[in-house]
Amino acid sequence: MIGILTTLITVPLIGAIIVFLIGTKNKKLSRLLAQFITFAELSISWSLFAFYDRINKRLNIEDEFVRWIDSFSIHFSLSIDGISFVLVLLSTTIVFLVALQSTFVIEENEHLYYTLLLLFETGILGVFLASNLIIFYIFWELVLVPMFFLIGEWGGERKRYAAVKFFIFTHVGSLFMLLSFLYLFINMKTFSIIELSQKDIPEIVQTIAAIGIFLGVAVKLPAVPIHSWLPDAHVEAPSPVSVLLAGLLLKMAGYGFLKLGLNIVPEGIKVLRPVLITLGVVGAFYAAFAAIAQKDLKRVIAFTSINHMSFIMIAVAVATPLAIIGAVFQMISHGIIIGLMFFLSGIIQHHVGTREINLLGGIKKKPVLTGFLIVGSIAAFGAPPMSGFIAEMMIFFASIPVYPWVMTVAAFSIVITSVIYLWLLTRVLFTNKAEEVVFEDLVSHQNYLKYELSIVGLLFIPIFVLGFFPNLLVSIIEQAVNQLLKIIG
Amino acid sequence: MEAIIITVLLTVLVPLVGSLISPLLNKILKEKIHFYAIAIAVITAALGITSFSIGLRMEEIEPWTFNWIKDLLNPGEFIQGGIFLDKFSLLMLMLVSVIAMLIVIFSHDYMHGDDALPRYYFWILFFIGSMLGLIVSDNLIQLFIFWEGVGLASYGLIGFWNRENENVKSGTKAFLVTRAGDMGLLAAIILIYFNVGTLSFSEFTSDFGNILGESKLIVLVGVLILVGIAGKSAQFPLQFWLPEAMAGPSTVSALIHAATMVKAGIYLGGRFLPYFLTAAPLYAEQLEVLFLIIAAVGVFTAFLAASIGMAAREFKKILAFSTISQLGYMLLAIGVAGLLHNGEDALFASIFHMTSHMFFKALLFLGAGAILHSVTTTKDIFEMGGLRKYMPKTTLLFSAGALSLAGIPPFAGFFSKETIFSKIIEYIEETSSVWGWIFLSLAVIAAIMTLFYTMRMIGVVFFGESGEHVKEAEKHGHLHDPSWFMMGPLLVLAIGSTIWGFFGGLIEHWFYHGDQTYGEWIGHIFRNGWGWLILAIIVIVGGIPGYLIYFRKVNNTFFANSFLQKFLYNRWYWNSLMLTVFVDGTTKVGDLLQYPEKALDHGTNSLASGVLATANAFEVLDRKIVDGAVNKIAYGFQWMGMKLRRFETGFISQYLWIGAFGFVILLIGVTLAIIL
Repeated sequence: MIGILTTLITVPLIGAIIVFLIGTKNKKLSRLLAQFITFAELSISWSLFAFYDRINKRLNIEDEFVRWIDSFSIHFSLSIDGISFVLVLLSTTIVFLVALQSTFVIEENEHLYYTLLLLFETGILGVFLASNLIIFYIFWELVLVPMFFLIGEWGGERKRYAAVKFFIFTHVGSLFMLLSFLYLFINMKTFSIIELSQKDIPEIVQTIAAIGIFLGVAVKLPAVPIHSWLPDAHVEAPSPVSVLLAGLLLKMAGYGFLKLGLNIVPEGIKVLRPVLITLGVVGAFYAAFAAIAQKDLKRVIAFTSINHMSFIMIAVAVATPLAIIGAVFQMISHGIIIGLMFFLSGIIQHHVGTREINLLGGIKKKPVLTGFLIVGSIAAFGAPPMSGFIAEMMIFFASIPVYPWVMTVAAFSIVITSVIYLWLLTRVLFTNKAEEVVFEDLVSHQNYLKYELSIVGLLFIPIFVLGFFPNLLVSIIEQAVNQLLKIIG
Repeated sequence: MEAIIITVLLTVLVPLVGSLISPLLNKILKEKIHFYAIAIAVITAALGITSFSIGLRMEEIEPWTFNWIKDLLNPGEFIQGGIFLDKFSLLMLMLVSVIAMLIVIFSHDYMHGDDALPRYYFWILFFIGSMLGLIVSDNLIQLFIFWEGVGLASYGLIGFWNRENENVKSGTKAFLVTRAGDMGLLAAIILIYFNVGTLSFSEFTSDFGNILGESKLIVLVGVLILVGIAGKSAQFPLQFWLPEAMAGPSTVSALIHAATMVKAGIYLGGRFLPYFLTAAPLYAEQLEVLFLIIAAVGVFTAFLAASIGMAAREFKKILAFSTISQLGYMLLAIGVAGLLHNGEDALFASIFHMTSHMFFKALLFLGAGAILHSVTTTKDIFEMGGLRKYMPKTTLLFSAGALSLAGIPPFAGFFSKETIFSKIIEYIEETSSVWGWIFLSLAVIAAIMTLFYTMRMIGVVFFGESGEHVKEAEKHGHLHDPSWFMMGPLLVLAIGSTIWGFFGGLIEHWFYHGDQTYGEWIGHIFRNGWGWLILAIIVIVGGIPGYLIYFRKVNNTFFANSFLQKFLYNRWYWNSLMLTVFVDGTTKVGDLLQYPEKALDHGTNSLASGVLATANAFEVLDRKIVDGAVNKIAYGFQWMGMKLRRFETGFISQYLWIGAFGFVILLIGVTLAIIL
């Protein structure tokens, strides 16, 4: 049966083909079409709220299923729950804003860029919706391909290096994941995520599978020390693509931890707990300290991104409902906030011509941009009343009783994150320079700044709304989290 | 909803909403934004006074709560946000809103002509609103949010004049040091939640102390809260941010020192004290350890900062050290209260000193602001001098504040400081513990030093010969008493500093329904003559030398240029030590981490080149041996290659097509294989 979920995935796929074909004739039209398609996706995904059952707090959308290869139980099957729903909303929203923002950034081969962007959207939505391991894997890998080209073609100086590095790292990780899928299949005779989550999988099988899954997702998250692709990829990618990377691609890993790890092989994850908590805490501190020494604006943001995502590993290790809700909250909030920060760093680069922190300064002459940078930074280090504060609070409330000493120490990594951002602001905004930064539109020589800023400014809405009304998000995901952790009631 | 809840709610919301609107009004109001801010502040103060006067007549005020966040640990229940009022919080609410109003009125002339007024008033009103919200919060997370809001506002305001990089750095320093303290508070909140089971003050019962005592957590939780207090209220070892916090406008300093920010920590301590004391019957030992720590931190800070105050040269820095020192007294009073058997009543000493400090410290900072507004070229008191002749009214009002700070009768500081001494003596009488004597002697020495540096400050700034900077200011016609927008608040605060002490008895009576007469109250403070003795010691040892040296200009070679003077001027080297350890340390760690980063990159790259080398080796192998054999076939492929070469245009669209084509072929192949 094919329904709205399949539509959600196929619209950008078909759109990609059309955009590509039109683009060979008329590039501007293809761009507008692509933007329209991302908008359509946005509307479809938000209209899913129509299926939201307020009483049972779940989405009344049936699973969609097309038989494919019976003997290997590989079927095209999609399903949606609260967690995937909010991630789908995040994806369509971010992709839409990225498509708009790209107008001001991408000038060469626009039609190809948008084709790849739409392919990426298909891939990422597929990951969040798939309920068969092989389908999951196909979409998981599909995301890599457009991303590889997006970095490698439109990126900065070392774009080829970054693209290849990104591809190889994540691809090798995925290989382990695929192996553990096959291993699960050999033992349990099914690829269906739903069936697997209901079966009683022997602990040893769970452990081995969990290791493979862990390797696959930990690279994407990324966990220290297999993170070194991330700073390169984020820095070399054009700024809208950095937004995709940090805002969405990393969330695939978080989602993988929940949907594959805790859902299918909870016992295996339990065995891995010491690894997860160690990598989580070490990663939080490592990335925070490493960020301090960076000289490139984007690199700083990229490293704090690693710091934020480390908390998700900690939450997975704790694996109580509060921790998992906190993890999802962190994924959404981080996706928005770090997306915002990458947008802003992109704007700075496009108008000033450099992201070198020591060369910036004097940006405070642009009051709106300055305000955005300040509020965005405050949001990024998790101060109230923004969404990041709630997310971190949830994770700390969940984890301190379980790992009191470790997590009390880990709480201080938040102070380091605030150091990073405040020092960044001091240097970028408030440093006195002999020569003032020249602020102009280097890309188009037209004043696009206010349009760019008004697009980016939209992201502040969810940051504050979720900060003030966390229940909005919690009530959507609560049911799914309980289901994930197999808590009845 | 009760009337008092509505007024309190409005007291908090008016400045907060007013703050958020102020940037929008920029274009409409322009310079008139002063009056907008004054209007908001006056309304807030009126609401604060109204709340207080309603509360004055109420015996018990029901807390007001609402369902706030889902309690994820107890499904189906909510964490309650809300307002929790008692006499302490109502008194604070009123005083903070009134003093904040005076500071905002003062700003009208003080900030005249600044080009970033909307930002200034945005942060000022946000600051006030956050502090008021903190005061009435029922829930600890709610309190923590306002607590962080206060910190954010201080960041924005201390670094307000952001053209100077140093100012921004000072703001950053203030925010980061206090935020490090906040993490302690956060850990305490989480521990309380998981042991006591609730986050609301209104739901803490008499079990609070027993639960913590039973799990031996009293000391830990108490010390973690102390870390939070030490951050916000600038206590040792986190006191070193406050002196730099005077980088902002003087009005901001006044707000930070008198009404908001540093008072938040002490307030929190006072708020928690009664709940900790519920453990007294069963777990007295744990409590004793905790409160000895608190009192020791307090009295040491009071001593430390007072000693530094004697050597500081910058006008506002002297005041900043005096604040740290006075906050130390308040913390000491909390600690001593916890050690006394009637601790809840003894807390009054801390509350009383906090309230009188609000008056005289606001007065001192605004007075200093008025002076620095006139003498703009220097901040060093030794470069001023003789201002008495030019600003007589300011001199008079400022001196009232300064004498109150030094604890000279009849000013407010005298009464409140003597109350603290009386509580220490009470503690000595009760337990005859050696700690009591240590606390008392350190506190008295700190008071002696306070009087000494107060005399120094007044003598050097207002008396003696005018320095060059003063003469220059006179030439430009800057040098006169300020306008009434500035003078009015100073006058009100000076009156407050003078008479507030006499209200002490009334307030204590209102707090605890004591049945003592006013005379008895005074007698109680002086503890059978102890108070007079202490006063005499302070005046003789601190005041007379101060007068001789700085008014009579008696030559003093004992102190000048000694090692002690350097040691004090450099703030016991604590600031430098902290900067070295944390700032340089953090940067070092960050730099060091570049090595593993590079190593990782290097490893990856060499792995990749290894793979390439292997591939090359195979390629050579391939050419030498296999090629020969398949040369013929190769020719065939070469032909195909010629055909295919046209694809290699470096243009990814074609790669994509080929990729898609290959993918489809592969898919068909796999499907066929499986089906067959």
